[in-house]
Amino acid sequence: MDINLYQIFGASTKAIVKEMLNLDIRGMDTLAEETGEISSMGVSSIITFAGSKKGRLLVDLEPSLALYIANTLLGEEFDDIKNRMVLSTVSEINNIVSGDAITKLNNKYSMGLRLAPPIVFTGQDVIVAIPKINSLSSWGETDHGKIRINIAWEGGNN
Amino acid sequence: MIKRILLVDDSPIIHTLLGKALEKHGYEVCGNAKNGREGVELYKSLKPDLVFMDITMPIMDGLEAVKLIKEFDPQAKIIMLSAMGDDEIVKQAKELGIDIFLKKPFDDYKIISAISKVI
Amino acid sequence: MDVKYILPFLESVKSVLEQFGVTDIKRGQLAKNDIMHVNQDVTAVVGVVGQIRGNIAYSMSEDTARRIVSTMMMGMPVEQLDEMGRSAIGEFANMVTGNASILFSNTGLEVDVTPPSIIFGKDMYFIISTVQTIKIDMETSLGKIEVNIGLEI
Repeated sequence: MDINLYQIFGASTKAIVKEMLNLDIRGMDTLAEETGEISSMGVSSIITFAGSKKGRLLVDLEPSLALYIANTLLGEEFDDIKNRMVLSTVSEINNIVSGDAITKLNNKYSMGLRLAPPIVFTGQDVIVAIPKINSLSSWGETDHGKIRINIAWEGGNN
Repeated sequence: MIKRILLVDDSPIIHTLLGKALEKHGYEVCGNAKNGREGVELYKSLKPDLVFMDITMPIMDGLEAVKLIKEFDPQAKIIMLSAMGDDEIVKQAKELGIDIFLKKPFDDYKIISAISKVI
Repeated sequence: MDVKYILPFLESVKSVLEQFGVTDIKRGQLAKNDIMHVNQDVTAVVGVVGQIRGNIAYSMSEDTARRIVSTMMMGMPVEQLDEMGRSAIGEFANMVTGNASILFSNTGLEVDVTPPSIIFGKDMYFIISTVQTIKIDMETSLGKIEVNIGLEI
């Protein structure tokens, strides 16, 4: 499958985090295959999409980064990642990143993709799996914690 | 006269962010609607100077809401503000007579310069 | 939320379980939920786009998940939900999703069901929708499956 279908998400993530938060993401330039399940670092959000293909974007944040993003955007001092506004902020960031990437894919490849609403979650010892779809991950680092994105397309990268 | 603006978006985060940007620059947020249907109702009762309208929302989406608002008031000023903005969606929105299509994310400059072109 | 949009997601669980010989499935009360706090260990989430849009989450305890996997494997004992067991739960979610797609196409609604994600963990907090979700418990001999439906209609 066209590698651009994966790379576009990293580019959108970096650009949007920079534009909304003036925060640089270092790295996130390479993609590595996920061989098994994904252990969440703290707060994770998933958006699925369907059109001429089906796929999924997972955005995974360290707690410190999730709190920084919510507090910076909303001007608050939340200290609990279970707070509804913190979770909603992560969800909305994913929505905007996915919207941006999917817009570009629809314009370039006429894929007619539509987004399902974002889901977001946190908990203890969280593991995420998607059956029968290989996926690629890309890691980034900020001054406030790590971020990973994971992209999966049905009929994907094998 | 302070310009009064109605926000229509299903995300509470967007209401907060947009509200802060607008108030900082001297605009009044006169109403917050969570979906298109609420947006249409609030438009009719509040008669705002401008509407910021999301597209993908529960109950009634932004395109349908624009159609109903324009039927009620053909002079309505509407800025579309959406996470999705592919050519097809932009075309549909423009055909309904919106003034400007903005794609998320946004910063103060993007918002304020769009408003100054419309009202 | 119109019940005709909800039924395919409940019917599909029922019919997949019935394929494995589980027939005593009872649908419990409907409740409304805001933020989803799940004390269950396993949650499978699928999305829908098209004429309806939203997410559906199926949650269950690790014990229930083990019993489902064991039933899928013709009664083979499953001591713990390891990576193999988790992948079997993924397969179960795929079957439920596929079934729901077929049931939707029979209703004449143009709906695409997106790939399921399976989330394992303790003391979980979820938001699956900007609107209120509807929660329905399904009681079976394998244990309870909690279905949370967040559809934007």
